[in-house]
Amino acid sequence: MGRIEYLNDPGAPRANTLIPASNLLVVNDGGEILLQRRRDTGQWALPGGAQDIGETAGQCAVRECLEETGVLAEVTGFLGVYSDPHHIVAYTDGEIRQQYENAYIGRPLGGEPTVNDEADGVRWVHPEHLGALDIHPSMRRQIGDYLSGNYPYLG
Amino acid sequence: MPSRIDYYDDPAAPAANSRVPAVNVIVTDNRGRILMIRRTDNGNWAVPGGAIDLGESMVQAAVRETLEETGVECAITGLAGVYTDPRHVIHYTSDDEVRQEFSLVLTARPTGGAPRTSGESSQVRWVEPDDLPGLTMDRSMRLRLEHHLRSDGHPHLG
Repeated sequence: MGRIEYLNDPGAPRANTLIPASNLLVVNDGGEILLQRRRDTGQWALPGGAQDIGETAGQCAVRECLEETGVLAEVTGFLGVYSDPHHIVAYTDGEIRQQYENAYIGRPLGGEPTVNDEADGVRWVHPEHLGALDIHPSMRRQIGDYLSGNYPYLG
Repeated sequence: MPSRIDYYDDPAAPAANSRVPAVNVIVTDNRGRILMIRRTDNGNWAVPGGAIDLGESMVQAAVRETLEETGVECAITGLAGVYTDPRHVIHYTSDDEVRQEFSLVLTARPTGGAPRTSGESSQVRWVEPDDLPGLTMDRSMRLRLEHHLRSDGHPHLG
């Protein structure tokens, strides 16, 4: 399914849903951050996705990480709540979702970065190499909040 | 029948059919008292809160709900916890929505206004922490307040 992402765009369509999603920022012992390249947008991102009924927001973050990266992780902290109403994603099925993300911090327990149906690249990225990657501004912000040490962000 | 029924780890609970991000706000005044409301939908005491509306952020929802339900203006000061336990479901009997718990509990300080009731709150009061055990409240609300009062400075993640 196609998606169009809008951030602070006066031309964005009006949202008709608001569903909680979780992201997980996994850091390894070398200080590298686990990123995946989304097949649908071609941009690098933290693993994450919509929360299913029957799981906690933290469990959602761990599940999405495993599905999108092949890495099993555990939650170690909370990075923030990102709920900017001017961040909108329009899907081709007519859903126009106002973004709401709980971002967690985690550490790897096992598994290896592995490409999959949703990601055509999965990598540990050292912070000094982040600048060269195509990353959506909303995601770059979350990573920046982690690197600054100034969290949890409440927005 | 109350219009809102909370279930926890109850085999008789209806199956959840939605999850909606919501907020609760623990507003503490400079004497250490906590702003509490008595809910009109089930008679329980609670801190103010509610679902995030389309077009607003989580923090905006927190400030708006607090003002609507208590008459008190507030500024958000931190995060007490994240409560997303699928064993806690809330049945809204008017439209049969069964919502899985999803609440961010924020801390705040009052910046203006004064306590007054509303359509959602039959009483609004500043309550000393020592007096909380005497108030009737849902298990989840008591848990959130206890976590907050015993906090080690890190948000509760659940």
